[in-house]
Amino acid sequence: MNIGSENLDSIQQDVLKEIANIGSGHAATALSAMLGCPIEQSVPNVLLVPLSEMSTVLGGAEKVVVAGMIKIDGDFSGYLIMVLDFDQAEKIIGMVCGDEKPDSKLELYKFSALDKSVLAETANILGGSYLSAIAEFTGLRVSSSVPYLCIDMVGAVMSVAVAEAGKTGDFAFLFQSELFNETERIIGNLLLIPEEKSCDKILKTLGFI
Amino acid sequence: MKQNRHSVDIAMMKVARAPDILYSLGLGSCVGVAIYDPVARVGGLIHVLLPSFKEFTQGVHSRTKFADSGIADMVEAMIGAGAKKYNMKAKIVGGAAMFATENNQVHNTIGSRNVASCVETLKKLGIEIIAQDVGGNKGRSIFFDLSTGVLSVRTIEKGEKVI
Repeated sequence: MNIGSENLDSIQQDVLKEIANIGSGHAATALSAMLGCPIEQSVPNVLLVPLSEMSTVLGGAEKVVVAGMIKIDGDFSGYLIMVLDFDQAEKIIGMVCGDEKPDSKLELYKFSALDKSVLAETANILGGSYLSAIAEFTGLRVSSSVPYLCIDMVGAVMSVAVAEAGKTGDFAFLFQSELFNETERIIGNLLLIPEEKSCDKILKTLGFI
Repeated sequence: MKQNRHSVDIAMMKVARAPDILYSLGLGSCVGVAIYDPVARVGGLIHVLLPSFKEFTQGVHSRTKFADSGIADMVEAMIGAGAKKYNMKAKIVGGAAMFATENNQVHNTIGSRNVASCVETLKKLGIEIIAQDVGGNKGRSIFFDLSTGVLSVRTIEKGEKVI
């Protein structure tokens, strides 16, 4: 099956938006506990993106990003991938560790173990928040793996997920969340890529097909 | 003659001749297979996503998504463009395992399975692999110069190298 955002009617879009809303609400609460300061959320964006356009939507195949991947298993299976721009990742590290931002672009690939741990935890929080929102809506139970981190070109980062989704010739849900406190604004992209047989299951449970 | 640059995106295949350049950006677990006939100066590049079309009996799939069917189609297209099979040489790049997982789980082996299928397909077709840059855990961009058959490989950390 092949579905794009143009195939969704306004009610279906509202359902997805509501999932994203709950998801990013959970994420904001969890992040504010981790950061020790209030975190607000904006109304998030939800898109169904054809896989061939994924790299373009995320800023072009060669853009360097930080990605955290979580494997999902249970009633449905697939991958959840958090994609952060570099400056957004640095902001998160800065907010958690209270450090000065690394100013040189050459330092891009030299995150410390602590920095990586912060980013992995962020992926964990964002991913877990959205997963519980989806579980709330669909009643489908899933468990998630520990997050795996990768810093590379967005096209390369996405290839594992595209390969998985490519088996059905399909699409990915893209949740775009904006989280901010008084001074900083973080925009994160979260992708849900269901495995071959799980696409229809999710859409069916949500009443789309 | 004017030089054109053609982007070869995921699950695409293109055949062109000198002095054009074929390129694929951000190869991760995907594999770029570049085949060149230096006599006819005709080359082809394919951006392989999955190992074999035999795994998929249902649904509509483009043949160029898979290593086995895609490479065979590309060789045919190159012959149609004036290349000779006995002159063809191949270079393969990509097939990385992007996410560092502690054990080789299924989602981490797609790159190496892609590479294995490309190697096997080329062997069956009798086309020699003269250079490769495969595996690892880094993304790659490739640029295939059809004037010379030179393939440049770019990674974010190590810069550019030529194979």
